Amino acid sequence: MTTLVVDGLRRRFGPLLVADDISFRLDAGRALGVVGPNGAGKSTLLNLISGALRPEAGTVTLDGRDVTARSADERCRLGIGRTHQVPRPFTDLTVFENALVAAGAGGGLRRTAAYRAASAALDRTGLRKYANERAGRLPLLDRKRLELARALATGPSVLLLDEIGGGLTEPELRILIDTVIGLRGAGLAVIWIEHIVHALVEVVDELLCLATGRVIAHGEPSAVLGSREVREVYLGEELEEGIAG
Amino acid sequence: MTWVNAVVQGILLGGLYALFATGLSLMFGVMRIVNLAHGDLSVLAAFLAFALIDALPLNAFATLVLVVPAMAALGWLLQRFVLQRSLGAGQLAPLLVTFGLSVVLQNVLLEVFSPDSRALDIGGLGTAGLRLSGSVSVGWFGVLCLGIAIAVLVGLQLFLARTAFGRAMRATSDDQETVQLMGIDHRRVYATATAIAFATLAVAGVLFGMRTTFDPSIGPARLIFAFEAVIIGGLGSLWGTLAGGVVLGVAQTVGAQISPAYSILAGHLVFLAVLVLRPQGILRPAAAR
Repeated sequence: MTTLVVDGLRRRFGPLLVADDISFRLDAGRALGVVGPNGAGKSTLLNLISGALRPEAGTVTLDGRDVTARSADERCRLGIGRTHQVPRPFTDLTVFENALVAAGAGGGLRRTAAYRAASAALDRTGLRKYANERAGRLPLLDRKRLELARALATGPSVLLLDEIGGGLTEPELRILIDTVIGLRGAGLAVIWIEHIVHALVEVVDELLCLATGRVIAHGEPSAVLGSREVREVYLGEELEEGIAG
Repeated sequence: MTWVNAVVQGILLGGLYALFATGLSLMFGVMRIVNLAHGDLSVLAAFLAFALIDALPLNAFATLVLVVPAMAALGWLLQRFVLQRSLGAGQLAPLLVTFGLSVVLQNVLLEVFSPDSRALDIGGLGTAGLRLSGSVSVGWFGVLCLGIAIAVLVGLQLFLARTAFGRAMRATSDDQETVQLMGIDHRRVYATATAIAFATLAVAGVLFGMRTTFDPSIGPARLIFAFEAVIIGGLGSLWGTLAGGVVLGVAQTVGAQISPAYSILAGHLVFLAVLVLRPQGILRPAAAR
């Protein structure tokens, strides 16, 4: 069983502390939601886990193996998949080739196996009909789907989702929620940053609230959303209504 | 008919220019590195072949078997241990590194091989050809160069389009940060791209050495031809590089037909005309990017 352990992560951008002693543990088949105001360090946290950023202190451990010194591409091959908040498809490649690159390099698959994984990822994200389109021609929402498809094609055991729900219509969001629930059910550990809190609480087992790089609450979603610290952090940036109840 | 002949010779010469420019185009396309030592490296390849012919009982073409892998290995090491370090330091750093490499190479070649002009002997092949009519003839060597150029470009195109590593290379050229999240080690892709670029420039360098004489200081003059072929055809397009090489070759031979002194000048004029009228290159749609 996959276990991701984050211990004492700390990172600064100049004088700004963007990750301040962040620790948690996430087991396979569990989903962790991450909330917090803009600039709280949510994306930074995912970057520290995926390897795009190195921490000044602290460790990231995957299945008992310390991966803190590993590069982003190695971590991907070890099973950490990540989507960008702002989609960055390989614009000159087709949608299918985008997924195929991920399945081949990240998933370590060859030929038929890679083709299957790539096409399964497109099926799962509803992109099959665009398989032979150049990715640069996709509209924004489909680009977001492609982010997820590519991350899935790498065959991750830990999936890091960065605001992939923003801008979706209610029925589209429903499909996304079901997809993520399915992935969690299939044994993936999921970390999902999302402002759409009602979508998040449907999926996640626990919620973590960040503010100025610090964990201010972590635990049962309803408890976290009900806590006074979280309410205070969100002052003026109203949490969605009816979620705590 | 002499004009037809000039065009035919230009096309054949263009094959060699295209082959020579491929490495420059590839390194720019994948890593955005402008390799100012490109010309000198091709001269290095020619001198390596020259030294091999001197030391071993080898035919000029047989030296390719040793020179091409040696240059590819040099490219891999250069990218991995020198150019890679310069990539994080802004756009100017790799340019300065390759400029420095160019100066170092010229001086090392001068020291080792003296400033004398050399040539790689290919016997009768250099002049043998097929006379098509009174004034139009096709040299076998030119046909061979064009054939090799097309074979290399088709091979490279298939490699990029059809193989997993080729796809990884295209993805890396698109976004070198995001490929890391797909599990691709971009440094490995870069080193391999440079190795391929050096292999193609080695072939071109040796063929150049068979066609005309070379000396340690001729590299920068050749670099201009590679630049012109790449820009005329359109940056980042392999077929464009072939077209650009042919256009440049034809311009030079047709210019020489007017007067031998106009050969190089005619190439430069066509290059300038393309820059003014079609800066994206003749084979690239205006809307691209």
